[in-house]
Amino acid sequence: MSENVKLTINGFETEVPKGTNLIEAARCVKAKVPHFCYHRDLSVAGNCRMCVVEVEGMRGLPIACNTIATEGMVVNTESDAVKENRAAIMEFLLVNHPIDCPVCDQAGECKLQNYYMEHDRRDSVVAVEDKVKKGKAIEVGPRVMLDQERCVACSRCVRFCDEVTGTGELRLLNRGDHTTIDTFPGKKLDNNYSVNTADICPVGALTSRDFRFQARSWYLEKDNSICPGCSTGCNTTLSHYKQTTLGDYNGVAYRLKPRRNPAVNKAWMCDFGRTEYVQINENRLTQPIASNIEIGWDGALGHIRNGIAPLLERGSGVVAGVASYDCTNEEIWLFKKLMKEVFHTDSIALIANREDGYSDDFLIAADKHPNRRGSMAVAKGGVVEDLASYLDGKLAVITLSADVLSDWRDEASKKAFSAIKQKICLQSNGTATSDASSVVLPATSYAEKDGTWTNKDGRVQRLTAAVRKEFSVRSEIQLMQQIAHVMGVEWELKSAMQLFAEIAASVPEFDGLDYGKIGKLGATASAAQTVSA
Amino acid sequence: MTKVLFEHRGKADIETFDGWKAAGGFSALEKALKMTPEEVIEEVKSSGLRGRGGAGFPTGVKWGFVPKGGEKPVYLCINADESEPGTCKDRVLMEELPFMCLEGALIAAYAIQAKMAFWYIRGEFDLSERRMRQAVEVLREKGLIGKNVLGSGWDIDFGVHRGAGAYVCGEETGLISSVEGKQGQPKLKPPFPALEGAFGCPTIVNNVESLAAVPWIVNHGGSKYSALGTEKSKGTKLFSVSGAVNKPGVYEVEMGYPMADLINKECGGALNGIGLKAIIPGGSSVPVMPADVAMKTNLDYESVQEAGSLLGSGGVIVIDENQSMPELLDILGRFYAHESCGQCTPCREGTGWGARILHRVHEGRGEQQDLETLDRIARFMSGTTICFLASSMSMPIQSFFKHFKHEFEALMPTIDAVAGD
Repeated sequence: MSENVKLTINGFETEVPKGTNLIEAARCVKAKVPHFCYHRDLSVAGNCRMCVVEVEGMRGLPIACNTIATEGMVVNTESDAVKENRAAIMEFLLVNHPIDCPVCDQAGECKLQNYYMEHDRRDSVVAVEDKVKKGKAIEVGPRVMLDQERCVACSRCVRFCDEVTGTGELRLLNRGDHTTIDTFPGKKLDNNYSVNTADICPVGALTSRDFRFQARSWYLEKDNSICPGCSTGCNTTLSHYKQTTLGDYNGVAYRLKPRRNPAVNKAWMCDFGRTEYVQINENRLTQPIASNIEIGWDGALGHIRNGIAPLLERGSGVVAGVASYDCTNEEIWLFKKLMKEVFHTDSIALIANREDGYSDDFLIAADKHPNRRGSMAVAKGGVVEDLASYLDGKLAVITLSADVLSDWRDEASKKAFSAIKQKICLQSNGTATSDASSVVLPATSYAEKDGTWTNKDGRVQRLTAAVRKEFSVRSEIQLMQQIAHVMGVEWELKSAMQLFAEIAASVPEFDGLDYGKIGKLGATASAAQTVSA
Repeated sequence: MTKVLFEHRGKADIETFDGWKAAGGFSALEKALKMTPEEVIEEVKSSGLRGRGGAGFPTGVKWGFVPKGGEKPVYLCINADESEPGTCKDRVLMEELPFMCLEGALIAAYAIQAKMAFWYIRGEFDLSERRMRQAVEVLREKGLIGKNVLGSGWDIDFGVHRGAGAYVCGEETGLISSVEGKQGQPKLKPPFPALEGAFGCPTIVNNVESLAAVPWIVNHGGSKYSALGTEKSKGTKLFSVSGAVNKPGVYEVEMGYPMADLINKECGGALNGIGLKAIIPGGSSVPVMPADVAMKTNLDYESVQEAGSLLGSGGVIVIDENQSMPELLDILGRFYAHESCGQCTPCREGTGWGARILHRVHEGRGEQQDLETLDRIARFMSGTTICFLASSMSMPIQSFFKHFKHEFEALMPTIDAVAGD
């Protein structure tokens, strides 16, 4: 255990680990020290000078980011001198700032705006024509746009490219008030993590080109989510439109940003993962379909009963169940139960929807599924290895977020699948498999459901139902329980949370966990820890 | 008056190895290498020598900050980036007495047990660079730079590096950044250079003039040096006098020497007999003094500070009655705005903003709030940044306003002038 030091901040005594700086220490007493250049996951630059505080016995106003808490230190983050200085820094920062908030994407989530309201609130004394002019709307990289006039030269982006990606594309060029962020001549800000620079930019200097001019940030709801792009499971914040009277926008997702989780992704995520919001909006299955007719929920469920009930009389094991590594742990758990108790099939097939892809030694994993580890753990014992022979001769097949007919799949499996007449598909987005299915039940995307995924390191993380779609869509868990019902099996209806409790009680990889313990940052089961150690 | 630095100035061939040797050169180095590094540091401590770059920090004490027996290599950086406006003393030392400077640096390097030293020369100093480069080459040939110097078992190498012309590289951490091959930007302290400087290793940065005094101190003893000067400001100091005097130049005087004598005796009095308005005693960054106050002051750290300014680098700028103070401050403002490295908010934005306002005030296009705004800029720019560049602009603004506000007010447009149709 690290040693602690006691200090007093704004009259409150608090204890922090040795080596903690005063910005972090102040958080312990709920004191906010405003800052631009300081970022927890980057080195200390100390250039914005916004985080000054008063420390008894120290000369002048030291900067909190580079002042380490020591035993008995007495700190004041709100003295008159501090407030006066903050206001002065704000005035300096705005001297050459274009104040073009109405056309700036950062408006609403801009430190400059927020701090101006909190610490300055004075009229500008600098005429627009007296301001230093710099470059606007520079395509600094394929995914990032640069406005040099809005920059406060905090160097966060420079340090990110130097320290995190090690690619070093960005530099602060020139001197004095002509200081600008730019790349070296002929170079582009084009690394796999480039949009993080837009996230950490405290102002509107670096913005995401994908999000550019798409939405005003104050109309967006922000919910916790997990990136579905690979098995790393980066924690994310999903921005989507608030429920408004503008029905067309309801439930539309706009972007994914990394959410800080020191155990997984710190404050970062890759540029590929950021595009994963698109699947929430596009190519969605919006209506229950049977035999190419939009038939409504009752019709579709009835179709399943009428189609499969007679087949069950021919014996057990005539219905195949195929799920994928995209499913949640709870879905796999319930799917196994559905197959066994309702369709009398002991084994299910777990398949990959995508081939392995690019990986690096940072956040991008080769496995492009979010829950391979969890699916395997939950389905343990009942998983078949050979999809083609498993499907061969089956009379019906139920696919759960599983794209059997994807391009790269072996021909034998595809052939065996196509030969089955009754194909029931639970799926959120249209695929070759949904196109070929006899009954299609539109299900939820990862942003619309509750559940858990287990990342490649065995960390169990929560998905929450953030987005509500205007069109007809039901969660997989709800659908499976309804299928059981129409098939004449009466189950006690259970939520994802209740299903997870069942999993935790019987699968070692989830031993001792519940939704409370998983919380926002995920958790690892004690048993799983022992295994991985 | 005892001359420490200029004892041998003007002697024939003193800028050559043989000339310096003939004047008794390298006896101090030989002596120092027979002492332990700690003894050398103690000798310099006892001399009371204070850093001549402007800050006045005791040189021996600074050397003592280097951790003993650490695993990392120790570096010595010689600050020859003399770029403070009004200062040209290091240039004279390097051009005329290069081997004295180098001998001092060798003793310093030995005292802190550095194995590598960087001679960082202002980019514009062509002759200085050639002299120092040549001097290093000669000493390398003679075996005074290299392995096992004079059989002491101590190795040293020197690099001569010419700056690219940034004022801020004269600040010790800015200089270190530049030596490392990075943009010349000062670094955040802590960590302090003596613990983590160039390339993350313990580094001592010394001004040329400080080091140039070291051979004399080692030869004659620290007590002999501390007998010179005043109680707290020991030894002698070079003053580079420029502006409205008859004989501008670099003069060595004992600390505590009267300013009036420097101007009237050494420099031959005011140019063309025109009355003096003001004197900036320590390079353009320090507060300006009205001439009558300055002429009553003695030239030592404490006296100048008491009189409302700073001794700084000893760059004495003499201003006569015909000089417009707003014009002078306009020029200074432009200089600091140009030289701000752009890291810290108050300096990056404040120097440029201040310079723009100073310029329009000087041109008679000032606006109503301008003098008030300048006051505010100067106040909040000072003491809130990584290095002292911002303070270097606010001190002139504040002192010019304190003593010569009327000249600025006189340039403000009258109500009639700004009234419209």
